[in-house]
Amino acid sequence: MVPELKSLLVISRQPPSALAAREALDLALAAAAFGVPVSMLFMDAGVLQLLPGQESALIEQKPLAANLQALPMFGVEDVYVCHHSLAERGLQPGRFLLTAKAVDSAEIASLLDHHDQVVTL
Amino acid sequence: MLHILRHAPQDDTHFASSLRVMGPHQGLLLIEDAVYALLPRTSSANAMQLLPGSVGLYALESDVQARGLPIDDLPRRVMLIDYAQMVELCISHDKVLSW
Amino acid sequence: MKFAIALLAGPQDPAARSALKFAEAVLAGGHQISRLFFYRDAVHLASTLGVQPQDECDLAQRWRAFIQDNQLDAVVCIAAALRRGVLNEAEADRWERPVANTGEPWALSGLGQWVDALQTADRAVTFGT
Repeated sequence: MVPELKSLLVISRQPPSALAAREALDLALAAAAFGVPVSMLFMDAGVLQLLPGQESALIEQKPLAANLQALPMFGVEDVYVCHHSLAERGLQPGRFLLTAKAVDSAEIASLLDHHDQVVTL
Repeated sequence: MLHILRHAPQDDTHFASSLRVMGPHQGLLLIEDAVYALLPRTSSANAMQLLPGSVGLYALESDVQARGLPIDDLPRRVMLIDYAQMVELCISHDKVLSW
Repeated sequence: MKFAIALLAGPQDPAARSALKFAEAVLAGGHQISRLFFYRDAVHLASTLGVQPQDECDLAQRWRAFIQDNQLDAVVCIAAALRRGVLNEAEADRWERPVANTGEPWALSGLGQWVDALQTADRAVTFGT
């Protein structure tokens, strides 16, 4: 019997300077590459990954932008960003490295409900 | 859904985030440094008391005792459990979310 | 019931012990562990080179014994391991490093192994987030 396809929501909450941010994106990309439906939710410090204009080369880090922008190409279409986490950091939904739908707490609760697996990285 | 928290609310935002998205009839399990959320007279302990009655609250007893929390002065609705009960909680909830 | 268990934090983090105690309780409760996956700093648990003071708990040793005794599928993320200097014989040869510090019962493999475990397990539990 072929197992039923399960969707995966990866919540990313690592700032862009952390290796863990790259390792979180790697999981999303790996899952998408295996044909698993993946959504991503950026919340807490994870929303900082989406800021444009990151000159990460200045601190000798590879930019995350290429990995982020690869998400839609890998079929990760549903990208969400926590409105509350943005507001806490004085940010507004808008010009990010990646198109993301701003969601409030009730919408996040429903996202968590509707995915078979949720992984926080 | 069972939410498992492991970071102390005093130095991490995930405690607040998890409470914000907690639905009714879900469970919240405190392990490792998250048990510091139970320190009496803290805003985190108060916030847990205010969760809907249908939310189950649990803490790993060994982690609570190892950190010197006052067993007799914990919010009454928090159930202290061991690892075998943690496994059972993971089974009785449809999925597990670790913060 | 089939559990997939992932650990993301290293031997110095309380999560390395929590995950082990949980995994032991899963088996003691009559359930199965379909896969253990070690990612991020948890790859250090697969290193055989750590030396602990005699009166301190050696989690790398306890994990190794647990995996061996129960013949579990224990996968260490290869990309995370290479970055952190955890190499088996094949990788030490490939990258011309003077020593290998991991091997059986651990298997170095890709993130796809975690994705697969998430898909097929009844419950997936992550420690050390």
